[in-house]
Amino acid sequence: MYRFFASELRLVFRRRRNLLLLAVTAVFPLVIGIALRLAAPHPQGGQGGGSGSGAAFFNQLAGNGVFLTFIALSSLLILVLPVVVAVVAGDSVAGEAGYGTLRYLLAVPAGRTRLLAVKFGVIVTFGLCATFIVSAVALIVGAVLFPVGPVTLLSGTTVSLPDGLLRLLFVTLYVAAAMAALGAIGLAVSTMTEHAIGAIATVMILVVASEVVDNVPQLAAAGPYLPTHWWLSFDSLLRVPVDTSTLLRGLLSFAVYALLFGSFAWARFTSADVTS
Amino acid sequence: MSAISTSGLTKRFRGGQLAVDQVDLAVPDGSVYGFLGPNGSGKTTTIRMLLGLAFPTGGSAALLGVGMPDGATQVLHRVGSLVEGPAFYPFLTGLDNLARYDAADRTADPKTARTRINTALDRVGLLSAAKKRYRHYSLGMKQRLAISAGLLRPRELIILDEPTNGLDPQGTREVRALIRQIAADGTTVFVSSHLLAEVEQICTHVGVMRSGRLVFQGSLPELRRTGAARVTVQTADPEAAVKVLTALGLPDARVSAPPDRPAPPAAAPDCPPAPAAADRPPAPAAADRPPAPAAADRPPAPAAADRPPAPAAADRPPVAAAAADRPLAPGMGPGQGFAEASAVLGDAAPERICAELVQAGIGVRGFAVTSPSLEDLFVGLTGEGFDV
Repeated sequence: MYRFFASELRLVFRRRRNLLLLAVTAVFPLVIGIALRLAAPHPQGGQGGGSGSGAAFFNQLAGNGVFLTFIALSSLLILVLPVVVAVVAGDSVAGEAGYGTLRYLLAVPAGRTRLLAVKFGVIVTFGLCATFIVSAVALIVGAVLFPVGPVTLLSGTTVSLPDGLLRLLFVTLYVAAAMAALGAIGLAVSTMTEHAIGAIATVMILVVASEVVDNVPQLAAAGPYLPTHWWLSFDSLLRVPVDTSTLLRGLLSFAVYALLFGSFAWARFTSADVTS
Repeated sequence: MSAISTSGLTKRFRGGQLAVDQVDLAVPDGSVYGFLGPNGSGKTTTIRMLLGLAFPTGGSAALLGVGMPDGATQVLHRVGSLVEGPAFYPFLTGLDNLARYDAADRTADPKTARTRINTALDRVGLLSAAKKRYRHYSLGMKQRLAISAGLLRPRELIILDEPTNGLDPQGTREVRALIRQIAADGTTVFVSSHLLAEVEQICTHVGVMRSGRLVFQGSLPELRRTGAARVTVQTADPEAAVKVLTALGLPDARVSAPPDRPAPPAAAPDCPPAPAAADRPPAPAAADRPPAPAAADRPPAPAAADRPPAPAAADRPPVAAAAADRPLAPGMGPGQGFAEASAVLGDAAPERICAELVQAGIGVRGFAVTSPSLEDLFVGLTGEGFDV
C-alpha cells in the first residue's frame, strides 16, 4: 500500500501543472503581504475596516506579521485553495480514465477500493501541502515586512509568540481538513466522468454556488449545511477561550462531507464498468 | 484446467443492447487462443469482463480457476493484459510508466522492480528507449510498451486485445514473434484479433464471435474441417464440367468466376484430351441444363452469356500439345484464359473425378483440390458486410 501511495504521490508532485499550482499559492501571500505593507506603512494605521474575521485580521496585521498568515489563508480559501484541491481531486480518477490508464491500473490489479483510498490519500496530502505552503510563505513574508512579537488575538488577549504559532499550526490543520472534505467531493465527482476538466469545473461550481448561497441572508437556514460554511471558522482558534463548539461543528461538517462523498465515490467506483 | 472459462457470460448495456450473449469460452491451458470476430462483435466487452473491468449482467467467468470479477485482486497479478490499445501517461518515460504499474501491484517485490522492468523492456526491444517520454514513442513502440507491461512478472496467462492494431508489417511481425516466444515459455495466450493471417500463423485454438455470440470454438484443424474442400476444374467448357460434377453427385457444383489471368502453360498430365470434345457444340449455362451422361448426346444450345462460343473442331489443336504459346481460340483474349467449374469434394476421390471428366470429353486444363481459406470460413461464420 505504501509503495503504491508513494508512487502516486510522486507522480502528483512531479506534474508540472500541479507544481505550477503550488507556486501560484506561494506567490499569493507574498503579493498580499507586499500590497498591505505598501498600503499601510504606519505601524498603527489601518483604522476602520468593517466587521468580519477578514477585516479583523487586517486590523491586527499592522501590529503583528503573524496575522499575514490568517489574512492569506482567509483570502485564498475563497478561490485559490479550492481550485488547487479541485484540480488534483477532479483529475484523480477522471484523468486516469481519460488517459485509459485506469483500465491498466485495475488490471494490474491495483484493486478498486485500494486505488480509491490511495487517490484520496494523495488529494489530502496535496491539499495539506498547499495549505502549509500558504501559511509558511505568509509567515516568512509577514516576519520580514511587519513587526513580530507576542500575538494579540481577536478577543483582545495577548499570547506569547510560541502560543500564537501553535494556534497558527492548528488553524492550518483546520483549513487542511476543510480542503480534505472538498477533496472527497472532488473524488466522488471524478469517479463519474472520464473528463478531468469536467470534474474540476463541477467541483468549482459547487464551491462557488455554496459560497453564494451562504451569503444570501434569506437562505441562512441552509448555511450550516453548506460545504463551505465552516471554512473560515478557524478564527475561533484566535480567541481566548477557544470557541470549541464552532470549531467542532466545523470539523463535524468536514467529516460528514468526507464520509458522505467518500462513500458515494466508493459505491460508484466499485460497481461501475470501466469503459474508457 | 482451463486458463479461461466462461459460462453463459452475458453483457447487456444499459441502453438494452446485448453486447455479449451467452458466451461459453474454454481456453485450454498452454494454448494460443485466437479470439476472432468483426469489429463490434463483443470481443473487447468479453475481455473487459474477463479482467473485471466490466461487470457481466449474466453468467460467470473464471481466470485460472478463480471467479471474476470478485477474484480480481487474487488472480490478476498472474495475468498480463493489453486491453484496447496502449495507455500510459504521455509525460512520463516508458520506464516510469512501467514502474508506476508495478508499484500498483501489491504482490510485486519492490526490490526486484528495476530488474523486472528492464527485463520486460528488453523483451520488447525498448530498453534503449526506456528513458524516452512515452509521448515521443512511435505507435509500434507504444504497442510494445503495453505488451511489456503485461510481462513485468512471470504470468500464467496473457490476454492481448488486438495487439497488432495499427502496426506496420514490421511491427506486426515483431509482435507475432513475441507472442510465439511468450507461448513457448508455457504461458497461455489469449489474443483477440480481426486479422486472420495473424491468427492462422500463431494460434492453436480459435473462438469466433458474431454479434455477441460465440459461433465457433475449437482447435484450428477443427475449424478447417468445418469448411468443405472443393474440387476445381479449369476448362474451356465449365458448364459441361459442372454437369459431370453434378452427375457424380458432388454438391454445390457451379461455374466459378473465370480467372483473370492467362491459362496455365500446361494441362494436368494425367488428363489427356478426349477426342469427343472437339465435336461438342456450344452448351447453355449450367443451371438451365439437366444433367446429361455424355457430351456427344447433347443437343446444340445457346451459349452462356459470358462464355465465348466454342471454336470449330478444325481450328483447335490437340490439347495435349497445349502450351503457353498455343494460339488462342477466337474470342478468347489473353486475360480471359479458362473458366473454372467447382464443387464440394466430399468423400469422392479426386483422381476418379478427373478421370470421369476426361471420359466425358471435357478438356481439363487444370485440376485442383482446395481447402477453403480461413477467411472464407471466417466470413462464412460471421457473415458478409456490415451487420452491426
